[in-house]
Amino acid sequence: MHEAAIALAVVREAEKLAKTLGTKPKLVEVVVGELQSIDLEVLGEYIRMNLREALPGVEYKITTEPPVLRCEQCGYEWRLDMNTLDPDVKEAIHFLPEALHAYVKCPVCGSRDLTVVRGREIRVRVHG
Amino acid sequence: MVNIVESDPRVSGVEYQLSKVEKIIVVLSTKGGVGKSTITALLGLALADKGIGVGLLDVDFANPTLHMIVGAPTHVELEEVMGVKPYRVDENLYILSPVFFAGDTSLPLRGQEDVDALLEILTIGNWEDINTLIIDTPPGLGDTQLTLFKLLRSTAKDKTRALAVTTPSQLSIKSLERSLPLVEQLLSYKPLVVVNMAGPDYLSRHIGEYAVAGVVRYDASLEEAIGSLDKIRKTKAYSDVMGIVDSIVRV
Ligand SMILES: Nc1ncnc2c1ncn2[C@@H]1O[C@H](COP(=O)(O)OP(=O)(O)OP(=O)(O)O)[C@@H](O)[C@H]1O
Ligand SMILES: [Mg+2]
Ligand SMILES: [Zn+2]
Repeated sequence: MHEAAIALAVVREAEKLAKTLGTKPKLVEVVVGELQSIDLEVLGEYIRMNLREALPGVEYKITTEPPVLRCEQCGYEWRLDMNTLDPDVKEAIHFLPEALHAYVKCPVCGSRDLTVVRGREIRVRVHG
Repeated sequence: MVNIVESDPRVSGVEYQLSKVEKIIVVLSTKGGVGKSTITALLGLALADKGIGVGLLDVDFANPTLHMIVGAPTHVELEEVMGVKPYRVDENLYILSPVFFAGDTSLPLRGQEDVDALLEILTIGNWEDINTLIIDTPPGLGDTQLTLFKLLRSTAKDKTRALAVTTPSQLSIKSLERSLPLVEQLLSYKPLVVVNMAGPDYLSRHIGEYAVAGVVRYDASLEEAIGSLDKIRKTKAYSDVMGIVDSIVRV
């Protein structure tokens, strides 16, 4: 599973971050951009399993960030509703979010020269 | 006191995925069209034919062509295991290409998104059971190359090799001479050079202070062999690469 690879990366990164924290880690927060179209339940389960061994006793929390795109040709900025995407497109974006440039067009001018303003990334925050 | 540290987990992910391979060869050139993708494919096939498990990775997001040379379709079903397994094109030869996700189109990616795409494909590619990973890069020395070199240096330094491709043209040689010292510094590794599309009498052992690991002749039959591994195996270019494989991977 793709989620398994991400969870592993998240927990490995959290371990490294925890060492730099200076205090005892309490919470691992994972911010997931919706463009990743990740199954959050599956991701959570993998994180829980990996975290139990890596940082026992530390809680985790997943927050999501909706995608916002900007057209570099006409300047229009909008929130992309992932539910409007074709399942095949969603699947492609799930593996490679940048694949969206092959499928998504500016609703105003039709350009594919878009920038993802928000909602692409995965970030790990360790709270002490 | 609120104490929070934050980072992108993908570098850890890349480190994990790359820990599975023994050797990584980055194929590069600042000049375009000199044969990086062709040499990547030929080298991969030659190694695979020697019984070594080879993974090919195309990180040219604007113009991926590696899959065409080895005859992989654009639409494939990839197995999801700890990321995605590459597509198998031959007994020991596997490939992962952006076209498997984005289809047959150019991706209009600006700098940061090019870097994101690179990080993502390296985070999800599961190279389990692969011995040698060969990475085909776009021409130039920009975001993709700089990020790739930095990543490889921090996550897979001891197993990373670089193979610079050039033609015998002085324009290409000049481009190489300018860029190799920089590449060497960025990768902490002295790149090897392959001279491609050489005439029958071409002979050179060094380009500047860089050793020529091999010469691959111009071979007009390659064009027709694109897409068929069996036809590629019958080309002179393939025999040439087969003859230099050892000197490339030994180093
Ligand atoms: N040894 C050779 N003999 C004859 N033709 C060759 C040889 N090597 C490469 N070619 C041809 O030269 C062209 C450019 O090769 P290729 O696409 O591999 O270059 P590249 O460096 O990957 O290009 P780019 O910089 O666009 O990625 C192709 O048409 C290819 O078939
Ligand atoms: Mg190429
Ligand atoms: Zn627009």
